[in-house]
Amino acid sequence: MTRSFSLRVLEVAVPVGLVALWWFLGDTALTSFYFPPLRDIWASFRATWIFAHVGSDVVPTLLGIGLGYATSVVLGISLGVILGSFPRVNEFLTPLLEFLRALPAIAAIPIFIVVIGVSLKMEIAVVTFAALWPILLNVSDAVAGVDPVVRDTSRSYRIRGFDRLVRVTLPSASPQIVAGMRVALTQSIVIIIVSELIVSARGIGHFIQTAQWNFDITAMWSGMILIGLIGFALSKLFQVFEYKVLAWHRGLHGKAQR
Amino acid sequence: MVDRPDSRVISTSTLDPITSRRTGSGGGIGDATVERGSAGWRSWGRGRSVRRGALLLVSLLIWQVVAAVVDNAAFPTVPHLAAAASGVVRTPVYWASLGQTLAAWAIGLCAAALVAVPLGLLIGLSTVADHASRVTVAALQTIPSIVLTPLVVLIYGTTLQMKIILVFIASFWPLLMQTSYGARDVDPVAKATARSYRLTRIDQVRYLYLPSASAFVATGLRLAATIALLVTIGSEIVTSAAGVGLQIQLGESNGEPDRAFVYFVTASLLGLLVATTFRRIERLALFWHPAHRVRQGR
Repeated sequence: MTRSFSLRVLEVAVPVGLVALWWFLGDTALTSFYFPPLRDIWASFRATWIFAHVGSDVVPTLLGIGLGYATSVVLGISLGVILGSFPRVNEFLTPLLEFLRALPAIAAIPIFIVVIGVSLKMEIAVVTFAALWPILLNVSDAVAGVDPVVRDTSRSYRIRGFDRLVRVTLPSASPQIVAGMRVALTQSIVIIIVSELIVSARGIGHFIQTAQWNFDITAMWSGMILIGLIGFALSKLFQVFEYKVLAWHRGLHGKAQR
Repeated sequence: MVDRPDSRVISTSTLDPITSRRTGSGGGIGDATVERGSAGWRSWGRGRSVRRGALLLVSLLIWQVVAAVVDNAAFPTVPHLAAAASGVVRTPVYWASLGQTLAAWAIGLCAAALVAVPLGLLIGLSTVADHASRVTVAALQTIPSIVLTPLVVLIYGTTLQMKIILVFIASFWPLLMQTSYGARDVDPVAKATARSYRLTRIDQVRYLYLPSASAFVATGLRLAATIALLVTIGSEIVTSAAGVGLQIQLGESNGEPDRAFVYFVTASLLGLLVATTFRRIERLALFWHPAHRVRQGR
C-alpha cells in the first residue's frame, strides 16, 4: 500500500522535478543560448500562443492534420473493406501496399510540391499519402481475416450486404482498424509539421522556421513545445476514442489479460 | 447483433493485435497481421516470383495511369523516369548522397541501440526505475523528433553530426520501450526457476532477461530503423544537409522534377530494403518465441 503509493508519487515527481529544474535553473551553467531557461520560453509561449498566433498558425496546422487524417481514414477503411473482400486480389497487392507503407513518406513532400504546388490541397494529399497505408493494410487484413466461424454463422443467419458490413465485418476488424489509425495519426502530425518547415507560409512549423532564421531561440522552443503538447493531446484524445470504440473488446478480454 | 458465443469467437480472432500491443510489439500491431499475409504468400511457393513479377508490371502500369491522369509536366511517365534514372545513377553525386544518408542512419541507430537497450533492461527490471520514468518517457515519446531539427541544425550546422543526433533521438524511444517490455515479459516460471537455482543478478540478466528480451529488441530495432530513415531523409530535406533528401529537395527547388523523382524512388527503395531486412532479423530473433511458433504452426 505505502510502497505502491510512493511509486505513484515518484511517477509524478520525476517529470514535475525536471520541469521545475528547467524552470528555476535560470542563468546557471546548465542553460545556454540554445537551451534557455523554461521561464523565458514560457514568457515567449504566452506572448505567442495565448492566443496571438492561434488563428494564423495553430488553426492551419490543425486543419491540415484534421483534413488529411480524415481523408486517409475514410479512404483507408473503404478501400480496405473492398480489398479485404477479395482475398486473391488482396494477397496479390499486399507487397505493393507494404512497399508504399515502408517508404519514408517525408521524401514525398517535395514530390507533391512539384506536382501540386504549395497549397492546403498539397498538404492534405501528402498526409493522405503517408497515413493511408497503415490504415488500408490493417483494414484489408482484418476484413480478410474475419473468423471463419463468424463468417459462416452470419451467412447461415443470412446476414448480408450492409448489415453484414456494419454488424459483423467492421466490429470484428475494429481492433486492427484502430491500431492502424493510431499509427496514421502520428504520421499525419509529422508530415504536416515537416511540410510547414519546408515551404508553407503559415502554421506552427513555419513559425518555428521563421524563429530559427531570426535566431529567436525562445520563440523556437515555444513552437516546439507547442507541437509536443499538441502531439500529446491528440494521442490522449485518441486513447479516449479507442477506449470507447473497443469497450466491447475489453469487456470480453479485460479479465483474461490482467 | 450476433449471438454471444459467436462474438466470443470474433474476439479470439482479433485478440492478436491488442495483446501484441500490450505485450509490446508496439507499432508492430499491423505487422503481426501482415506476417500472416506474407506466410500465406510464401505457402503459394512456386508461383511467388511470377506473382512478384506480375505485381511489378501492374505497379508500373498503375504509375503510368496515374501519370496520364495527373497529366502534369512535372510527373514523369515510366519510360521518362527510367531514362532520367539511368542518367542520375551514373553521377557520383548519387552514390555520395546514398552513402551520406546511410552513414547517418547507421551510426545514429547503433548509438541509440547501445544506450537504449541497457536502459530499457533497467526500466524493465526495476520497479522504481519503471515508475520514475513512466510519465516522462510517455510524454517525451509523443514529441516527433523531426521537430527538433531547426534547433539541432543551429547548434551543429548541416553536418553528419546533426543528422546522427536527430536519428539517435528518434530511434531511442522505440528501442527503450520495446526492451523494457521484453524484460518485463519474461516467463514467471523461468524467473522463479532462475531464482530457485540461485542465479546471481548478473547471470539472470545474461541467461534469462537478455535472451527473452531479444525478440522485443528486434522489434524495437525494426521500428527504430524505419523511423531513423524517415528522420535522416526528413532532416536532409528540411536543412539541406547532404544526402538523398537534399537531392529530392534540390530537384524540386531547381525545377528538375525528374531528378526529384529519381531520388524519391531511391528513398522508397531504401525504405523497402530497411523494412525487409529488419523484418528478417526480427523473424530470426523470434523463432523460439511462443507467439511466433503458434504462427508457424498454422
